[in-house]
Formats: sequence, C-alpha cells, structure tokens
Amino acid sequence: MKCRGLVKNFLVWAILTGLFAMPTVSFAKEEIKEWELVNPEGTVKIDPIKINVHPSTLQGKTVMLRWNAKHNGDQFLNRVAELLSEQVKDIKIVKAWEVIPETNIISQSPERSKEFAKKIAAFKPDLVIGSQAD
Amino acid sequence: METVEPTGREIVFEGTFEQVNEYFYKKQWSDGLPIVPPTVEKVKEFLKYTDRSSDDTVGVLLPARREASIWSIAVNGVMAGCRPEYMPVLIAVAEAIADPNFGLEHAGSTSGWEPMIIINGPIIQDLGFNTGVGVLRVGNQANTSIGRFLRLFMRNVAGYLPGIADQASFGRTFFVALAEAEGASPWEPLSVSRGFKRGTSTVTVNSVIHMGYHFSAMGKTSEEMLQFVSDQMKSVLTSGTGALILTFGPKMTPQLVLTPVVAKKIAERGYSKKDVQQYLYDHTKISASELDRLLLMGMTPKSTCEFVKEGKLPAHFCESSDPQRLVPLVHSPDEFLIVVGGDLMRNRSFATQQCGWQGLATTKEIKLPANWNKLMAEIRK
Repeated sequence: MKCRGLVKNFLVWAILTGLFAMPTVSFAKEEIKEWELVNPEGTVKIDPIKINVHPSTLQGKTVMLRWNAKHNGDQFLNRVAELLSEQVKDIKIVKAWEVIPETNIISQSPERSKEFAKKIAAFKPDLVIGSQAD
Repeated sequence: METVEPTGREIVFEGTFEQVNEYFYKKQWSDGLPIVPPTVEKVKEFLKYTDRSSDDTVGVLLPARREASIWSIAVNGVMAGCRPEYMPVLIAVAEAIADPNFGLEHAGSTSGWEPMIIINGPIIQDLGFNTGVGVLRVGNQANTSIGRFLRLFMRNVAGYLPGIADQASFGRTFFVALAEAEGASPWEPLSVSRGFKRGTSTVTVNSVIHMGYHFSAMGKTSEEMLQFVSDQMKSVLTSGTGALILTFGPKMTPQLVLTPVVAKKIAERGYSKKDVQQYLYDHTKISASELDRLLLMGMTPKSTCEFVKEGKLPAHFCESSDPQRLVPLVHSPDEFLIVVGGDLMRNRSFATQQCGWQGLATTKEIKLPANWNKLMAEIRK
C-alpha cells in the first residue's frame, strides 16, 4: 500500500514535470547568428570641381542650346528658345547644332564629351541647356 | 553639408541573417535575392586566391566613380554566392568592364543591354563550370554566381541602380556565365580568336542587346546549314534598330553560339572558324535601300553613302549608287564572335546583337596566384 502511494506520487511528479518541461524542449529556438559586415560599395574617386556662379538674371545673357541628335531633342530645345525669347529681354540664343554641328551627336566617351564642352565654352555662353531626349 | 563616403573596410552593419538582408536590400546593395553576408573573414578567404594587394584597383568605374578594388571585388563575390576560388575570374571580369574599350559608362542605356561573360581555358575544368546542357541556365554554382556577381558589382561599385543611373526601360536579368565547350569544338576557342595563346584562361565580356531564337540549323550539307545560320543572324542584326548599330562603330561584336554537333557538321566540309566568319559576312546582307531606310529613321538621319562620306562606315558600303546593291551588316568578318557550347548532341544555335561602343567585347586573361595548384589540391582533398 505504501509502495503504491510512492509510485502514485512519482507518477504525478513525472507528469507535472513533463507538462512544464515540454514547451522548452519542443520549442527550443534556433541559435541566432549575427554577422559584422563590410560595405560592398567602393571608395569614390572624384576630384572636387568648382561650380560656376549662376547668373541672377538671363537678361542680356547668351544661352546655348545643345542637342545630342536623339529624336525630338531639337523640338524641345526649339520650344525652349521660343519661350526664353518671349520672356527674357535681350537674350541671345545660340543653337549648338547649327553653329558647331560636329557636336550634334552622342559623344560616346568622356574624352569626347570634354572636347564638345570646350567647343561649346568657346562661345562663352552664360548658360547651356542640353537635351538628351529619347 | 559634407558627405562622408565609405572607405569599404568599415563594418556597416551587425545583425542576424534576416536583418542583414533587410538592411542590404533597403540600401539597394542587393539584387532582391538573399545575399551571402560579406564578413571580413569571408572576404579574406577570397583574398587568398590572388597575389594582388587588397588595396590594388583595376579601375574607377563610371558613372559612380568608385574604385574597383580587389577588396570590393571580393566583397561582391561573397555576396553573389561565389566560392573563394572564383576570385581570379572575378578580378578578370572587373578588369574587362573597367577597360575604357568596354564602354561601361553606357550600361545605363534605355535598351537595357546586359553583359554576357564567356569563359575560356583550363579554369573551366578547375572550377567545374558547366559547358553543356543548360549552359545558360541557373544551377551550376560557378556559371550562376559569377554571372550574378557582375550585375551586383555594376550596382554597388559602378552605381547602376534602376531608375537612377540604370535607365533600362525593361532591362533583363543577369546572364549566367557561358563557358565554352573547348574539348568538343572543332575550332580554336574564342580566347585564341581574341589573340591569346591556346591554354590561357580568359574572360570575354560582351554586351547583348538582343538574343535571337535558339534555332535548329536546317540543312543536309554544311553550306545549307551555314545559309540557315546566316538567315538567323540577319534576322537578329536587323531586328528593331539593330542595323543602326553599324553606325555605333567603328567596331561591333555580335555573337554566334553553336552547339558542338552543329559546329562539327559545319567543320566537316573543311570550314574553319575564319571561313564561317567570312561566310556570314558575305551572306548576311541586305539591300542598300533597306539599310538607307533603317538609317534614315535613326538619330542622325543619313543615308549609307553619307555615313561613308563622313568616315562613319567603311568605303565598301558605298561602292555604287545602286540601291539594290547588297551591303553587309557588320564592318568586317572578324567582328563575328563564334563560341561553341550547350547540349553536345542537339542541333541548336543562337545569335546575339551587340551594341557597338556600348559594351564592346573585351577579353582579359585570368591571372592565377602562384600557389594556385596547391590551393586547388587542398580543395579537392
């Protein structure tokens, strides 16, 4: 009888322990790993450049319009020319594709872009507006 | 306000795998797929496979003007899921796109052209590239991860993010690297055609603006098959604004990829690779009036002869004023790149149009570290 009591107590104890222990055993979490990671971008290599002072007004100034021959870029720039001429007194509009037609093309390389920029700069524009319509 | 740019070596994030991927995705450093977290330890594993210093650079990549350093190559290689031993290939790929000849600054074109990597040499066997069935499918780690690396590198170092520097209207996903089936080819590998000694491992990176149907070359004789191939090449080179690429010169590098059985059938009548290039040049033609029609729709509307007068096309494009005269669709026969690969025993081939000065084929040698054989032996153990 005493033995049966001990067994009964043991069984109760075992069941209660199991009930409380099971959640920990069944739902043990996966160990979370953390990483320390480096930047995938490279270091920027760029020389500082001086930005030209922007004119406070376009009155009396020279504006060059530069087209790269992509479709309809000239139409956009022609309309810009019309609006500027209507709205700004004594403005001078120069269309690059008329005066330096060799620049009326995609430059294809940074070196050629610099050459085109020099040719445009030779006209001493106060502002250059480019169109790369596509 | 001064912006402090990263140096590439600092720790930028700590976290769990999910947090890492979330962070990298938000920073636009990933391609939308999970990346392998680039830890310092993992990067250093890659650096064991090159004799170059991690601070060395292969160039400054446009448009972001970031240095393509050995370190940044390794970081992006880790992220792409490459194995460390792929590092020499990754460096060669970076060198190719950093070469001014390649024209990486044009990779943001609205056409959405995608560079394709072609692998040649003993490296194919060393690294276990697939050269056969499904050669352009994802699945083989070398082919797939190296292809993925290139697009990740273009995003993270060159700065080609969609809608920012990358203006592709649609774009396409990265090409799996294509390894040539050199052993199964009747001809010299592409690397030899590109001027390298046989047995040199190389990468060639070439833009693909259009890929044609993977056709079966019909015909019982080599000539019949070649004519069929030429017809398919013409279809690719004149598709869309394809013919305009002629004015994107002075060179262009369209590609023809043949399965080994097709190459062997053509070769069995004595056609060398150069003969095939010449055949394609002689037979892949359209009338001058048709070319005029296409060129007059282009950005700088001019006729074929006007382009010749300006020196933009070779003289033989305007040998007469006869509008029915036939004109080629490349400047010279050697512009056709011919590669052999894919299913050994199936009759399939495809042609690609390339974009002239945008992504011109550029080949670089894959330089191995002095202890390459020892490193490979350790891997194979």
